Amino acid sequence: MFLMKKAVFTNFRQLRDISIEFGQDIEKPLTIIRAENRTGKTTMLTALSWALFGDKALKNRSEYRMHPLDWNHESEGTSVDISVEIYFDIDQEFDGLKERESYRLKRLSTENIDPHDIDKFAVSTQSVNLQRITEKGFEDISNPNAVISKKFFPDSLREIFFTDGDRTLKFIDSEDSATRRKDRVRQAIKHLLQLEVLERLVKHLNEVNKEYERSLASGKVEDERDAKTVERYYELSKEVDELPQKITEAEQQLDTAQELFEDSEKDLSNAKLALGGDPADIQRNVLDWRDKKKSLERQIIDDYQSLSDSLKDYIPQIYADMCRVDIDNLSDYLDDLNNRGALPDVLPHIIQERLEKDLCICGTKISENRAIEEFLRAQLQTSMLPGESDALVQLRSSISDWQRQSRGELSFSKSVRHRLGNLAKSRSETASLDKDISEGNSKLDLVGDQSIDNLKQRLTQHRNLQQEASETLANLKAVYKLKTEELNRIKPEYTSITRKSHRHESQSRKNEVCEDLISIARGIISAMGVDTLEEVSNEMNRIFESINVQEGNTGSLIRRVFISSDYEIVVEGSTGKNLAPSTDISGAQKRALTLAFIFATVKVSGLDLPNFIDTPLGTQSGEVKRSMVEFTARNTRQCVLFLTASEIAGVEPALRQYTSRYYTLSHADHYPNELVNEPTVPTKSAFVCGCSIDESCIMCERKPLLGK
Amino acid sequence: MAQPAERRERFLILLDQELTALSARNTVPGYRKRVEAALRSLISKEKLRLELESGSGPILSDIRAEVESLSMFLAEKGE
Repeated sequence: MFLMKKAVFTNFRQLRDISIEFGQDIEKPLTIIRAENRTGKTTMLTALSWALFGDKALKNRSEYRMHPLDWNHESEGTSVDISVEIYFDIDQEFDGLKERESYRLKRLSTENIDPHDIDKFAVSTQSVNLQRITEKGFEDISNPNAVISKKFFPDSLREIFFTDGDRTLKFIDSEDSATRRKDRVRQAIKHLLQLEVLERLVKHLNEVNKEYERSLASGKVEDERDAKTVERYYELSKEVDELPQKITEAEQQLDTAQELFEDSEKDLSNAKLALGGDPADIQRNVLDWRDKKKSLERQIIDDYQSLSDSLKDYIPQIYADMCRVDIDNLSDYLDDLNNRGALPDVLPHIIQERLEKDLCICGTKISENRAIEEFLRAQLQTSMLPGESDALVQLRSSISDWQRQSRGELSFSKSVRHRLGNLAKSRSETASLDKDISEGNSKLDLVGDQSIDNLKQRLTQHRNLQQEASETLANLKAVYKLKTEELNRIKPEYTSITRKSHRHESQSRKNEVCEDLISIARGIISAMGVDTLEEVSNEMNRIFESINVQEGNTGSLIRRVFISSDYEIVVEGSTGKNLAPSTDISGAQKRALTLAFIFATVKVSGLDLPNFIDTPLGTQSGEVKRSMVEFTARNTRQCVLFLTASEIAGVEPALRQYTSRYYTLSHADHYPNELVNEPTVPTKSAFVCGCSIDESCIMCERKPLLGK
Repeated sequence: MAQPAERRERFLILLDQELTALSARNTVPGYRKRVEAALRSLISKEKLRLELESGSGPILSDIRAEVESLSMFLAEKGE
């Protein structure tokens, strides 16, 4: 049994410095890594697979940039050490006694960045170090790759134990021809057979057999026609022997090309999703916004210049405007005095005159009425000084003139206000454009060094590659069919010719012995293939039933699922009629069927290895997801699930029941659109916290709409 | 679940079936037993070489030796 304990990722793309410990509780075999899309789930899955299997786990190492996107070659250097370190236990049984051994595996790769073009890199060194951890310390294991893939974790079963929920759908629901789907299922089952030893033996027996055949052919065949037949037979025989291997390689190339194409499509679609549109449009918009901003900035400078010129001509008016309020107040005061008859002030003259004549206007003497005399003298004292009233009258007149004049300059004030308004508007538009440009650039940054044009170019390249691989495969298959037919046609003639000669009796006998051995080995391989196919088929149906995904209309009710003898996954409807997996069954049924196929192959392999599954649940109904989780938990010793929040929704209790370790993986790039708090790690890096499926902390707290 | 032990058992049954079919084709006494021994020997050697990730050179010599031995056996038996 292989039990994962811990993984440490260093500089592996966005996993700059991340450490994960895996749950080992047999009752709670799940480890959940909660992560939204574009966070690093698939990268982590790839990194774990790479640690165990090396570059075989990558589709194309030279194209797969491992070092971080935000690696600063100026401050951090042009040479980047990338490593993934895993700690695991192996339980073995010797003579009924169980023994556990602990190991540490570290795979390292160094990439050298071209300082003149930082998108270019070269892989300089690769190394792998496997150590047994003993009481005395670390003990190096020689030939680590072979030990891992042949003893601990069979390389051929890599894709079964490391699966991507979306990608594995292609076993049943691919846009390819039925032949390609069947090929995939056949390959998966072939890997499962674990008959590599027998297959190699057949291959080597064939090589030796050919030597004997060549030796036979070297004998002299006197008849010219016979000689030609023998020569042709060997040519054909050689080609027919070599073609299956070429076809297998072409199938692998087509699979790789297809995966590269799908990855490119996904990258492009993710880039568009992250940007909220086609990045090419956003790039165009950013350029337009920049042009508009430049034009506005020129306008602002012109407006300021023009305003400045205007102000020079109107400085007196500006001063006037500055003291207008005070002058208006004074004017109001003088108006009030005037309205009350205090301007011009005539009363003091009359009082003075009456007091001097001692004669009131009523005809009596003022001196005879003391109270009146005192009142008049008091009034005389509080009145204005001589000339003061005249001065105020003059001032009022001047102010009235100034007000009339300055009111005439209101047009100037309006013009200034208008220009200032325009400036404010331009300023506001510039700020808004700045915001748009900044948001546009942030979105474009999300695609990092892979500009959209590169992504599109890559997509086209991979589409062409896929097409070429598909054509090559079709050609090879056609050639194989033709050559085999021709070989079978001339075989009786060849046998007859070789039997004519007894000189090669010994070689002929060796030839026959070889064919006996080959026939036995092939017979076993074929029979075990049939057995395994049946086993996987039955197991798949049992698992599918246990997940129990009966939904949709009655037409899509499923009676059973099975794998046909030609490796097609068949869905039989309740009426006995076969349903087309790509069109007649629901999304939940498809996903359940895929999971059932994967788990059936895992079960039939008989190996106790951890499963790593990326997005296994999709967005199905809670009941279906619950069944899937329960099935997974009950049928694995250890399983690492990479789940999005939407996959977790509705299935929390089941996940809690079977999970012993939780992590939440976040990405710094998701701030500020999706993450609430600013991360402390570099912008292109992922980071983990120990939050469970329904917790959040300062590091992983997300905004409610999850970036929508 | 098919355990490795069950798979090995199944392998042995199939080997026996294939050897029985061979006996029907080639009735030379002892040939079946010699072929079985040769196959088992070659399978062990292939397995070992696969684990060591060695090339195919040495296994071809082993195959030649086994084939020649079987061929000699048949010649001796007058086949």
